[in-house]
Amino acid sequence: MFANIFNYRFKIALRSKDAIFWSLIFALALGTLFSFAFKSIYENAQNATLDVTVVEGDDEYGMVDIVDTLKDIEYEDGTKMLNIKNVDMDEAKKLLNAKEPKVSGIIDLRDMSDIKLLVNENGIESSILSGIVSIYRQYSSIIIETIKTDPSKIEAVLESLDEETNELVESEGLGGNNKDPYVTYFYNLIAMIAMMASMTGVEIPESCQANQSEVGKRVDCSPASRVLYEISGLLAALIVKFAITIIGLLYFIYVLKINFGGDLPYIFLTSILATLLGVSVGFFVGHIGSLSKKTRESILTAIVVGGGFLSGLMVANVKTLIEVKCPIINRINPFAAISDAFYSLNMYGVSDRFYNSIIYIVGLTVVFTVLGLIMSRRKSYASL
Amino acid sequence: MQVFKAFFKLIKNYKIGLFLYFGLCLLMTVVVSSNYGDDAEDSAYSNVSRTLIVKDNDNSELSKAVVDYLKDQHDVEAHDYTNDEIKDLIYSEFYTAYIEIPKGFMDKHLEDDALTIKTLYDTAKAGGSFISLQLDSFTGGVVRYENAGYSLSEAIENTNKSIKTENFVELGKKVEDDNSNSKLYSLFLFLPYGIMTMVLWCALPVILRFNSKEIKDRTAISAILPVKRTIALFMGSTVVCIAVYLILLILSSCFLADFVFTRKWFLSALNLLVFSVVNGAFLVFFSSFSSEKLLKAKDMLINIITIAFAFLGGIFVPLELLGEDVKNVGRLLPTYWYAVGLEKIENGSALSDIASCFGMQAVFGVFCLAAGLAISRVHLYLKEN
Repeated sequence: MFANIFNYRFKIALRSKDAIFWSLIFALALGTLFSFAFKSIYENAQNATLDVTVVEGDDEYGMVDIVDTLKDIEYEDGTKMLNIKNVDMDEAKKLLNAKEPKVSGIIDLRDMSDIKLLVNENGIESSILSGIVSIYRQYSSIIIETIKTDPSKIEAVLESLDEETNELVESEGLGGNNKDPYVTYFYNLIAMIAMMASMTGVEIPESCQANQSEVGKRVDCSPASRVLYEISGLLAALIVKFAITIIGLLYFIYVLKINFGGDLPYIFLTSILATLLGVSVGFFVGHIGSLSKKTRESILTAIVVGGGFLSGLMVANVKTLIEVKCPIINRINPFAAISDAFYSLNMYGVSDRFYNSIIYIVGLTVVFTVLGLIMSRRKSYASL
Repeated sequence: MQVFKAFFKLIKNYKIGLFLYFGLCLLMTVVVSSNYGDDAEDSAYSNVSRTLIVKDNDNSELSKAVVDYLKDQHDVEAHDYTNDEIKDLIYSEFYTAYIEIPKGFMDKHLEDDALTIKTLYDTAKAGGSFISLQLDSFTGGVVRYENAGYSLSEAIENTNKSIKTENFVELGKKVEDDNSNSKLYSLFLFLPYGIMTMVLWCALPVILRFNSKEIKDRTAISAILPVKRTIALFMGSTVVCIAVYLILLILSSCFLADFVFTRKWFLSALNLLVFSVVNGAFLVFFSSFSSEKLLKAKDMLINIITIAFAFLGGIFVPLELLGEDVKNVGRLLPTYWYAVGLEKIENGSALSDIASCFGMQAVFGVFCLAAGLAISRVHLYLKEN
């Protein structure tokens, strides 16, 4: 009996070509869109070598060595900070004021007692340059002040400046595989594809409830057990929805080359469990009261769109904002749990946090499925 | 009138979706507005300001000087987050860096085994590197002055002088602040998504239903003239568009007490009105593809279209962050010109400049209307032959 019903439900699920087509198109179209929109954002925010012009003057205080060190400064990750061009002021201004500026700023060393920086805009590049120049202003002010007040001390002062000062700042990176925050859009997209499986889950109770559909009337008066019918329907829907989620995931990873940042088997496992949750949510909603099909679909749309928004599908920062202001929402939002499972795989590997998310996803799935089955058993009709 | 009334009777069936998307817009508005404080405008040079978490365990003269310096430059917050929470917050760009000054930092700062200030940030990002550079510059500066014979207080004072940007940075011709968008700009930026989803969600299925074969044929043999039917549908859609426009305008204005009835507000409202009208034309275009399959897949289609328009048009992701390829595609969409128009309004551009963006949106609307009518004609022609 089970195999027979499963066979029919599987064929029904496979033949709903519109639902499969649009689910896939939705995943692939949005994934492609996200990939185009976000691929360069993180790259642009990364450490970059800044083109800068240095205008030198007479080295009356003997600080040529200090200037030479500008060329050797590096970021923490080893990227060279400055690409220096030595030109005169007129040429430097031409480069800076060009329609497409060739340099980020001019370091004016003509008066060593008052080193200046000329930039054309406020921004991270100008800020980095000002940070570098401020260090050289410290050197020059110490030397010049000493020459002015007590020239006999200059040797000792130069010696102290030559000594490497103790590093008082220790930097630590974030760790993790992929630090691009925009990859969370893809985590949420997978969560959305998985949760959209609820639209299929909601059809299973409909097809075996006499007050919901014509097929339901026929199934209800047949000798088939309703629980058996629903479980076989769930399995059939799951297989089709798994396939859609996996195709979407393969497309993101191998065609769009999105680095999800964790071990692939665990990424696939999370996606499959998320799909299971999606179907079970739909299955549960399908059993609530005697709501119309439209109302059930609207409830699921509210869960999918609202949950997606709250976990950062539309604006990535929303999930963090909620984590700071009202973390309980993230604890109960299934979208946030799915997204967090992917995120913890990326940042912390297979850790306790990942297992916590997975346990929550599995727990919710079990609760929704069992509740759905219990509600299904309690339904009987004196009349329609 | 009969078709017009039937239009609204049918719309009642989709009121849940309408409320759902209105709720989403309300949520977006609340979230965006809660993230805004007072708007500050400054045309002088200033370093970029980031949000940092700073924990001072030393509470000494030196550590206080470091914290004061950071406070002068950035938004400094003090929270007791766990290490994982801090990493999450920095990863999602909520904070740029976490800085922790250890206990005993001042006492040991000149010794060989000096305690170090711990900083946590994305070392591949320029923003975090800048914070680290600033800290290096400040702490290194204090040590350099002390080594040259100055007292700690003098060293701190001289370091503060040496890093004050107004003493040595000259700003040239262009003045741009990368984080100066007002609350009005941010709230109005989201509204096209709300208008598109709400209008498409409730009006599109109604029009598609009117265009379904059964109903269309039945109306065709009734006493209602086809022209009157089309006008009634158009009027119905227009009323929906205007109603949604007014609802969202009032909603956002409730959060914009300081901006209402200013030049910026009027122009932004006008920009949104143009977009709403264009959206009505897009509805006409969309509904010209009358098919049962389209009606069944409307939920998915509406999501794809609205999210695609929002992302490619710079509604969800600021235009300056989008790559050139994406922008080239976005230029074909009204959302892009809406966002550009809003940016120009924000920057106080001339009216003629802003009007060009309205014009580009209108071009899209005219194209949609023309294409929609042409497709309907082709359908009719094919049916008659």
